[in-house]
Amino acid sequence: MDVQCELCPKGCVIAPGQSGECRIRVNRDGVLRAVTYGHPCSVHVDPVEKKPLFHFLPGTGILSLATVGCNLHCKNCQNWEISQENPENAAAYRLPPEEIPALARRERCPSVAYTYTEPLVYYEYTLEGCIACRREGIRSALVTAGYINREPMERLCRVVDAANIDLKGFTEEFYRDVCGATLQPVLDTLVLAKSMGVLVEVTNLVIPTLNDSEGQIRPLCRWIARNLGRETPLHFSRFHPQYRMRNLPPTPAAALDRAREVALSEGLQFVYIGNILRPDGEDTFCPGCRKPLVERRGFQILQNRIREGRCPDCGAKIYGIWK
Amino acid sequence: MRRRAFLGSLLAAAAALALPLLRGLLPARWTEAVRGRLYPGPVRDMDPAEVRRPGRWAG
Repeated sequence: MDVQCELCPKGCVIAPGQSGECRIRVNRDGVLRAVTYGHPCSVHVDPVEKKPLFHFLPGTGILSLATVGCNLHCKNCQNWEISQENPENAAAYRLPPEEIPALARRERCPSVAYTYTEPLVYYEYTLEGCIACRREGIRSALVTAGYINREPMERLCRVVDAANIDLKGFTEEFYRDVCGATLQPVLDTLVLAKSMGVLVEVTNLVIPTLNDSEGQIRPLCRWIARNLGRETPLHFSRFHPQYRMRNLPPTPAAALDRAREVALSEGLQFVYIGNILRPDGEDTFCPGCRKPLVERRGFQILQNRIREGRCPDCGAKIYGIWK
Repeated sequence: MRRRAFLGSLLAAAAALALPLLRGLLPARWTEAVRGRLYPGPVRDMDPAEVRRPGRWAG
């Protein structure tokens, strides 16, 4: 008998023996099974800045986990070798969710990230890992495209501390043509996560000719300022040609600088440029007195002047989880 | 009873009888999946040295 998966807006109807679009939610004899549960294909300690999360425990390592699978099929996917792979073809480790906090402690990581692929499709593993970590005083973060239905996301937000959510473009056409998805559920997820107290940072990968025009970037920034708040960090990331999008050049530095200017002109307080070194591109400035607070180069922290979550010069509160 | 009202009642009665049958034909809906116990691919041992190295993947 067919089953319908209602985890994400795709609502896959899955025939016996088949999987949903994500490849990892399988109909076995009329029962929907999460086949990668407790079996990540990648486990690494990364700098938290690599996620990128710039307002979350800067300068610390974050235990980063992923199983194979994704419900989006972006033509420019950077991690397609694992996100678009079948579990049958990908080696994995055995790491049940209740063992994640012990591993994080052993590796001296104050937090765990569910990242690299799509943590929302290995939902049960992410949820139970977050619950186990919260019980042990370890924080949890998601790096996600945010393509999920409201009810399961609400449950997850209760045990997640931070999330970097991709806002890949700002038109339905972009999401349909490039990602095989739709825009509105992502916007809903962003608003929901922020409203439930999750520290939200947003990433926008700027792709030449597809989403780099001011006509797309300005409304995206305006939407963030109005719906998530001006304090929401925004990362403009440089595109590199790969996977099924090798016909476009890497994003010129000038396009990223321009995007940042637009975001700042829309009132966003923390705007960063990633995947390329730009002057001040990764530094945090105080929204009150404009003095530099955190200086970063690559994934390294050169200086962090934030004290008790505030600017040491003017006392302005800085959005984030700082310790 | 007028003919239209009679036909309406007849249709409503037929629908009420058919509903449980139709429901049985619809796929069962799942939000949370049952946790899989067996991974369908190869399972290997975790190497602590590899864990300590930053991942090659973006994000």
